[in-house]
Amino acid sequence: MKNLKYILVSALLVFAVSAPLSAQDIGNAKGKVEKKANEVKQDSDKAKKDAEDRAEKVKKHGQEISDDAKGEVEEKYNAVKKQYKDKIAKAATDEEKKELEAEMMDELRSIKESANSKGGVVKGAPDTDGTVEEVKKEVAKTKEETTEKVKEKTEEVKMTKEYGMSKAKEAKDNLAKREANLKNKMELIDRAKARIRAATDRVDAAAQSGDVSDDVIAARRAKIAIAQEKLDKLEASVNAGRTAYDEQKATLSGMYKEDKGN
Amino acid sequence: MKIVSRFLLTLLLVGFISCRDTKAEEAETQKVVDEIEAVESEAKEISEKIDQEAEELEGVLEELDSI
Repeated sequence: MKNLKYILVSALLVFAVSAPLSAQDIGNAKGKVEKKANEVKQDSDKAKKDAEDRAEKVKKHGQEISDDAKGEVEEKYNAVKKQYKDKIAKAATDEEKKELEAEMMDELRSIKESANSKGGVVKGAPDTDGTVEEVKKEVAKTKEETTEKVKEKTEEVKMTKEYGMSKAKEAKDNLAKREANLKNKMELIDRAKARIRAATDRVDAAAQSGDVSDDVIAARRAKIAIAQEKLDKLEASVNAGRTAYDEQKATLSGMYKEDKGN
Repeated sequence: MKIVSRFLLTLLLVGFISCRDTKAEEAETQKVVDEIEAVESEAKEISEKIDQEAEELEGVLEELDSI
């Protein structure tokens, strides 16, 4: 009887624990699937764009070859015409001239027919449609491989505390790099201020000496104004960025802080 | 027999509790990772904007140096 009591209690416990866990699992899984689906969609869009770009390039290349072929036919046509024109000019009798003219017409006709029968496509030119298909197949294969990789990656990543901590550390390192970059930009701002000041002094001196026309002075002052505007914009962005980075640093430092104390 | 059943039940309880801990940890980590990704994305955006503005300024300054 006592044993039965224990079994009943444990069964109740199992039910109580497993029910909320299942709900949580479903929620987590849904979130993960949505996230990865978005990633795959982005990859597929990129692959599609690449395929279109490549197909466009191949078509363009084919068109260029076709244009070249057209030019080649025209060249040949003109060369034959020129050649016979000389011969006709040198012909002694009328009969000879007529004969040469007939020959020329035959040759020109054969060149035209030959070009028409090829339908504007010269032998040796690549089959552009075929190439486009190949590119499309290649892109589809790459897309499939990317999807597989993303799938594998999703399965591989376990949401352990260690993983979270390594992610946080990585983010902190990246933030430190960005802060160093921000410092460089602040130095750039200082240098820019000095360069603008120097340019202003040069323009003032030129205006006072009267060597340069008023229009040129005005144009130079406009350039200085543009530079000043860009400088102010950058300075504002750097200040905003510094504040944002400080906030982000605090957020990242707060993560896993409780564990550090233990 | 009584001791064995009690021991088994205790084992079961410990198993369930540890399982629940793992799930809670996973949920917590997922939340933290999402937060980190949001922070990184924002930082990247800011950094790109600043880089672009700095590049524009450099271009204008080069013109100024020649006057």
